[in-house]
Amino acid sequence: MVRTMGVFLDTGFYLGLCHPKDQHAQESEKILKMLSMGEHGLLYSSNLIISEVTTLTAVRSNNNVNVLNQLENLIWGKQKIATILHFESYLESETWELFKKINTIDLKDSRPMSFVDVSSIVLCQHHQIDQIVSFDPHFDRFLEKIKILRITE
Amino acid sequence: MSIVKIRNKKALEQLQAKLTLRLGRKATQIEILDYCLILANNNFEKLVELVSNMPILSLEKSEQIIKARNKLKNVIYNEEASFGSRDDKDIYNE
Repeated sequence: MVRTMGVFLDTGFYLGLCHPKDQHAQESEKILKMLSMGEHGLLYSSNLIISEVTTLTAVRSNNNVNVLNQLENLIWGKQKIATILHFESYLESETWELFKKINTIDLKDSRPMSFVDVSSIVLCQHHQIDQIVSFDPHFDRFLEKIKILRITE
Repeated sequence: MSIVKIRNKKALEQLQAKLTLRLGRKATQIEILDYCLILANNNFEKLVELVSNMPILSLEKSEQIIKARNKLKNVIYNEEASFGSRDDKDIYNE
């Protein structure tokens, strides 16, 4: 079934589009091409994802201006690919409650899920976005992931 | 009647609340959407302006993005690069 509701883009996907040596560069490229077919609907991300991706890009590229320009272009420039949703204050308490539930009950003895990741789930719920591009396994329980179909699968 | 999912239900509810205050009666959400369609048709150029601000990913745009990214192949990129402060290390270096 082809869905048309929209896709949320996570930090790792943006990083993969910023530098060819990123560990997810190849996968990000394939997913980008798949998304460009338009079958998955409009693309979204959030201001909290921008906070993560800008910081990580600066650190990993050692503040290289060309890499930062590539990111700038993807988020705000001519090559902008997604509408940026704003994590507003009215979502904070809902996110906090879900954050506590996930980390103290569901993932009690595992690696915790970050507040930013939980905020992405809440934003997707509020905007009826049911698919995500992410390389983080934490989202598997909450959102359908866009994956590349491999011949071996 | 057909079913259409909307992305920002909260905005519709807020519009409904404002209209209810002004009209003194509760307009249904279907009624509001019908009037929004009339408004959109009457202000078509504004609608085009609004919609054209939504970023659309085309195959051409995706190819330009990858081409620009691949030009950076000689720039140093270190996924193990670390932060100065301990807190930032904990947040970003998993």
